[in-house]
Amino acid sequence: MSVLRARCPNCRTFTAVAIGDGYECHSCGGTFPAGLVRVPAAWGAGGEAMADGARVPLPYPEVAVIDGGTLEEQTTAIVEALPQRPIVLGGCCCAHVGGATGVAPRVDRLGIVWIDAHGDLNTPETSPSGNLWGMPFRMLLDSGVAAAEDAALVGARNLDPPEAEFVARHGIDDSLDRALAGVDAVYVALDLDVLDPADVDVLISEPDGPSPDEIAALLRDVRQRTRIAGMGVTGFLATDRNTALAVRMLAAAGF
Amino acid sequence: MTPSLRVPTDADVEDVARIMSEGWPEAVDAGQVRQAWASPGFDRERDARIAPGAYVHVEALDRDRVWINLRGRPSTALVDWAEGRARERGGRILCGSWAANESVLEELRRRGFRQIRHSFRMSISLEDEVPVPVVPAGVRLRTFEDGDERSFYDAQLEAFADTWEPIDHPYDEWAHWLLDTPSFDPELWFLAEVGGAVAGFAICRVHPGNSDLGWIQILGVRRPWRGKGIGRALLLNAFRALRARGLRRAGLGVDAENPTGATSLYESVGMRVVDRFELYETEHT
Repeated sequence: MSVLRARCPNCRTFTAVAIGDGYECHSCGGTFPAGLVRVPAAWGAGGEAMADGARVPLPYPEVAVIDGGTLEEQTTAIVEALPQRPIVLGGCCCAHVGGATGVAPRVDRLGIVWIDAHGDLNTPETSPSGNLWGMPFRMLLDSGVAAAEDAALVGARNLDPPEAEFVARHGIDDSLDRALAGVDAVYVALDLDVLDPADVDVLISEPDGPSPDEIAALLRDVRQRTRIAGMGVTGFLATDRNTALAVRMLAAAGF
Repeated sequence: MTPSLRVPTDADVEDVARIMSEGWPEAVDAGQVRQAWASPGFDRERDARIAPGAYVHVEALDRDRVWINLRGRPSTALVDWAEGRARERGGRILCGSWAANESVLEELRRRGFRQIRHSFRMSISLEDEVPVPVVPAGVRLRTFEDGDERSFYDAQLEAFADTWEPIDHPYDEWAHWLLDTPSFDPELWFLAEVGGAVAGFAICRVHPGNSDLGWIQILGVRRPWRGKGIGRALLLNAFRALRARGLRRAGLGVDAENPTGATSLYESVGMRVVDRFELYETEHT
């Protein structure tokens, strides 16, 4: 496997080659600003339908499809396949672990903007369900991929008590001013369940979320503040409405 | 067959090693000659000739390039044979030598070869302490473990894909030259890992022709992780490991026009150019 070659979304063949930050297809001549790593896996009970979200058609060349193994192996495989400017498509938000881990050494100081209805800040000890998909943000902060002071949590409205305690202790909030003040680039983790259930088809919906317009505006704001070194979109079902949302959010972030 | 040329036999191996060492920066030993003769796709009967004071073999670099490995003081007849054999194998024909071997290069030019590229041999003394490398956050350096073979191979193919005319070695051939050789030393093979995945690597060994010399054979960083000090960390880490072995110098070869800025990286850690290899190609095929 090499990140220098990817499957062109138009030609369906491995004719897209890495040029600069993006890809160019030497068959159809199409150019693309980023490469796509698909991760059709959901690390929680009953997540099969969420895993399928990773297979929706997106207008970016596909570098790899990561499937099978343990979460640790999934992370390694994502990093291994991560192109210069990566889009990671879940599956569940555990896909962001590979995405952010791989991007971190390419940046002097990486920030993380985690956009999600949930905190994803549990540990195996604190998680009520034991589902790994409740822990990836915490994994990234604990492993030092980004510091808590360089991390923002946006749109969260259902935190477990230990998560609320963690957030309070480390001063994590939804302020981009604070989180992006000292960073050189950011990884954006977008779980589509952040959106209001009226606008999106998700497995674990939380009422009273922001609209797609609001999240698109937030993404434009992030990209005006700093460079987005990588982005992941996760946590959605494979419906046409969701595909259109993913395309729109990626475009808003400059991909 | 021209009487002065003949197929080298096993009994010639020491002579061939001696001839191959002539005008070369480091001595070639009998083991290296046997290694070449045993390499996949090599047929001594058809591809090698020895003559008084000279030796040549013709090997495929890949599907469309043939390399004439010309050593010693070759006669016109020997080079004639080599060029003929190279044409028989088909494809572009390349040959070359170190800058000091002017008579060999002159013979190539006379035959219509032209210089297409040159590479540097660079070197550094290991007498003084080598600074501890700054390893970028999130990167872990470790040495070779069983099962890493393919990781090194894949990383090398990808990292070298954007160098000048990369050679697409099949795995078996790569393994023959790098793993199945007495100089293979897993303690001198280094991986730079990110989250368990390979971002860069360095393959080193004690030079088989000079036991004072640590040789950095292949060093590469995969494109998405370049420019953040992983190559420098691998290099300094290698120097330290070679120095700990008691080696007095470290060296490597690099394409003079390497597009990734490798030459300036090597200079920035104190390496200096000590020799130049001239690469020639026939104009007519």
